[in-house]
Amino acid sequence: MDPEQDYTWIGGVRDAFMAGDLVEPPDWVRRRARQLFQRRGSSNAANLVERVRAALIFDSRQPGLVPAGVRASTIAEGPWQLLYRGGDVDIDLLVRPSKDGRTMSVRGQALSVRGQHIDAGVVEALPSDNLSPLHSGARASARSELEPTGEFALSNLERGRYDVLVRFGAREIELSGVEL
Amino acid sequence: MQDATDGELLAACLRGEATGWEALLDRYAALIYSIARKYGFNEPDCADVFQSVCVTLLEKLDTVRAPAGLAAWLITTTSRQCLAVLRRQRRDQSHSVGEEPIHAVETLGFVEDAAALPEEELLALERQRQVRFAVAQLTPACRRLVEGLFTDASEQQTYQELAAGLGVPINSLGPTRARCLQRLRRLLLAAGYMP
Repeated sequence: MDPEQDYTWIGGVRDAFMAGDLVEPPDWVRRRARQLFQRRGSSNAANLVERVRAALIFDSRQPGLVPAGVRASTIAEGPWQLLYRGGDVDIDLLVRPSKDGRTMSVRGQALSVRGQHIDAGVVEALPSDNLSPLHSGARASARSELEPTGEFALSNLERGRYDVLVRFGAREIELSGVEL
Repeated sequence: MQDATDGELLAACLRGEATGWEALLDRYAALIYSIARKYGFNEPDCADVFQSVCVTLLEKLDTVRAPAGLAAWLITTTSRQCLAVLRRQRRDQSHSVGEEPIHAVETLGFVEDAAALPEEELLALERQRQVRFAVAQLTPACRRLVEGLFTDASEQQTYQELAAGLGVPINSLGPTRARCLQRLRRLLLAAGYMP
């Protein structure tokens, strides 16, 4: 390559290096994509068409502050209610500490905001940031059938943060970082 | 895994090796996410586009053509997903103001033509990705030298500072620079870089 072309080539490479249009996704986005592969062997992920991350829209512990992005930071003693919306589905959670004070139970219901039927499915709670061993997939801490009424129940969950996955039909709705 | 080809990484994923998937994410996450950002989506929508593309890639692991095809496949798949999000947003808006859906086909066609990112913008993102990846594959000394050469003019180090930083005599900086740039050129050519 002659010096003139060489200089032009280097200049182009430098411009591409300096352009700064590439943006890495946030850590939680990468983590969710990593979990896709981990769950691939244990779920029918190949059949899933739509995945949605639900947003927390109501927390009975801090009812006025959720729209501002504030989550309750204290550990509540009594039952509390969380309401999530993922696409056109509302997911209502009632979290209740067990008498042993160590574990929690979650009763929930998924409802279509358009009044449509929710197919039977499954709900799983996985510890957030769980890095599963290779080939084993992520193991759910609790699992429940999703009834035709949209109701489900997860029991004996240790206090902590969980990703709750609600799967029905060709959809998966993720409630990320649910604090119990 | 950093030196593996795209084909080798896809094969590793098919064997169930999570390190292959991690390496693919390292290599292409910024490209996928940046295309969604170019469409002006907020973070949740960019994240949904990103996740959908990853789901599709996992479903199509054994059919994506590599080594030259993966980047182009990801650009096309991401662009399609972004246009699907735009269609959904426009459809939701039109329903909310009571427009008749009978014109949806014409409206959606307009979305495809007018809203699609120009190909040159997509190619520019891919060039940026190729250059950054190639620089990351250089030896640490070459990488420091190239990054030193490619910084903004106001921040550029003098040759004396560069040589001191690399621990080489200043009169050997020229041949070192030439060697590193030659290595970078070979990496970019192997990656299909088109200036």
